[in-house]
Amino acid sequence: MSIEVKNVSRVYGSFAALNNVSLSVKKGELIALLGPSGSGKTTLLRIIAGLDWPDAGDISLNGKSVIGEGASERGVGFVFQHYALFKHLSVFENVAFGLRVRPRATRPSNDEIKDRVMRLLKLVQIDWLADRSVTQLSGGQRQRVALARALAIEPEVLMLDEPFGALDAKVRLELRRWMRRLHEEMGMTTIFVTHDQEEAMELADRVVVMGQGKIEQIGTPQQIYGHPINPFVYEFLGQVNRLPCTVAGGVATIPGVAVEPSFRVRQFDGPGVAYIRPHDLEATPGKDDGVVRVLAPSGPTIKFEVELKNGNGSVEVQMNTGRFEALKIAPGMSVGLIAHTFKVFDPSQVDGEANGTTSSAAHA
Amino acid sequence: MTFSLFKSNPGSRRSVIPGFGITLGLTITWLSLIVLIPLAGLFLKSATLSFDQIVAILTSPRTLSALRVSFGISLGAAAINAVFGVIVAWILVRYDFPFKRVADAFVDIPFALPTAVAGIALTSLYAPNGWIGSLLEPLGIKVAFTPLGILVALVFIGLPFVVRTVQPVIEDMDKELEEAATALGATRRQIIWRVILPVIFPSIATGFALAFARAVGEYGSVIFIAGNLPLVSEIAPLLIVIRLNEFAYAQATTIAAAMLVISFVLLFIINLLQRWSARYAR
Ligand SMILES: Nc1ncnc2c1ncn2[C@@H]1O[C@H](COP(=O)(O)OP(=O)(O)OP(=O)(O)O)[C@@H](O)[C@H]1O
Ligand SMILES: [Mg+2]
Repeated sequence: MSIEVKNVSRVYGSFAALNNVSLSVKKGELIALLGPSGSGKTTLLRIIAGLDWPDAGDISLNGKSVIGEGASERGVGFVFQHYALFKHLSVFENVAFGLRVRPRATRPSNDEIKDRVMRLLKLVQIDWLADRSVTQLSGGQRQRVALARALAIEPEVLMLDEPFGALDAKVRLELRRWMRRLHEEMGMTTIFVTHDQEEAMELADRVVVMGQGKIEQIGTPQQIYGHPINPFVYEFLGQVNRLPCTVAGGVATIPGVAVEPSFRVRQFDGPGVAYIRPHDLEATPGKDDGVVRVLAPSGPTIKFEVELKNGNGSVEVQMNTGRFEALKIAPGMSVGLIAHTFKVFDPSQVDGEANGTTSSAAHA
Repeated sequence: MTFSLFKSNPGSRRSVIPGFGITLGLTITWLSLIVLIPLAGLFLKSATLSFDQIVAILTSPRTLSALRVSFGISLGAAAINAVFGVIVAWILVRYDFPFKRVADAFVDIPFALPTAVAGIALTSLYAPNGWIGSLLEPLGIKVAFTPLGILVALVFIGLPFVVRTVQPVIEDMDKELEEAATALGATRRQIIWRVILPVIFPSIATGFALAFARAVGEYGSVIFIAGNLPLVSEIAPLLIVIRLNEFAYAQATTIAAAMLVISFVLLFIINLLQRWSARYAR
């Protein structure tokens, strides 16, 4: 089912939770809504599902406006952030709920319901829990029940609000992969909310980055990560060093950091702020741009801080461990810095000081 | 009304909540002092009569009628309260309207009002020349001085019990449950029957039991409005008082003991029903 969100606004009191949001989703796509807390992700999801109504704008499913229809008519599968399972029903009955409430004419027989529910429970790998009370399940198992329950009505659109938010890292990873496979097998349109950029990047066909009730950027994970269109998206997608710079004729100069000679900045001239990812910076011994301070080895790469001599704070550098060891870099050592690629934004677009590292909002 | 004695499972398994022994001991001592010993006295007193005498007292038409009136009308009043109490609680929680807090406070009035005052007020309202009674009179409906009057009084005093037990449960109910049901295609009516009622049923049962227990024991408000005609509108507590005034103590305690046994059985059944309805929610 294709989804078309047109100029949707939602206001709570005087606070605009959604401000003129437009989005179109093709049939069969897997979309991630990514954004910091309070950016309106849940609100947008609920409005598409028909659990909330916009103050302005329109929602179409399969090209037909559904603004006058409630959630029960839209037939959208919805998985709630906190699962919202029926505690008075067993696992089996939770999943069967959507079938049992159908009007008699379209309601499957008891045997069919049993068949279908058991098939779904097998699909989500908890068929052995069918007779349990949902209060006796672990978080991951509840998540699966919620998913099976939403799938039982064979929705053309599946919406998941932070489906893996409350789970530990290992279960998260497992369920994530498994959800991608499920999406490919069932071929329905899927929208899920997350504030974990890694999750969005790994799972989604396209990522919608939201900030403060607006959509900041829509694109494939590569587009979003490689070409963030504004500082907000850049910062949200991972750690970044912000340093003042000047650009003249495509050549950038950053005080305290050398720039790869062949690198050119496009469509920018004058004073700006350079956004440099830690892994696009390299430290070289023998020069004196800054002093190595703190080391944080993490497997194949190593992260460390370099305090700049020119007083512009410190920057974070990420290098691969082999190269790092070959250069024999150690805390207290003076090093030179070279930036391979980066992006320059206008200072007026940037909030806060253009000095040193900012951590990504996702980790905040 | 919850028979908490049956609830926890002591013994071999260790529990995170310490002090089972001492709390159980305290509970039993307290219950004995306050409830069990006086009740035992009641049964001992009736035991001064022979078995045949007891049977004769209990099967006399007047006793049977009084018990039937007391329990029948109490159950009816509790049932009415269960329905309307839930509706009142629902409205108080889910809707906003002017003077909502005042309406909320009004619910407690039957708790606070001396029962005799309630009885007199209701009687004057429902008497053939009262505000409501005069409207019902032309329709041929008599309330005051009939069993219907007893029902009105018992509904009045029982209402807060249901409202106050159900209200917090509705307040705590997750709105997302209703939304989840809607998204699964359920109609409003299906949501009420399949989602809301199962969640609040245990509290309705508790409220019902409380209202019922209160109604069975009610004396003050009923005797004013009932008319107290033996075999028609005489309640068992009144019959007990009459016997006491005649110094027929053993007779009085026999009827009282019968009330006690019947009440206990009924409350026990309600309690079982409540536990059964909450079987998955734990
Ligand atoms: N019913 C409501 N009444 C008032 N304000 C609301 C309501 N629902 C949401 N909001 C506000 O709208 C904004 C967006 O909320 P929303 O739940 O969509 O955020 P979110 O992006 O899902 O955040 P999170 O990641 O924390 O779940 C928030 O600032 C929130 O306070
Ligand atoms: Mg949310």
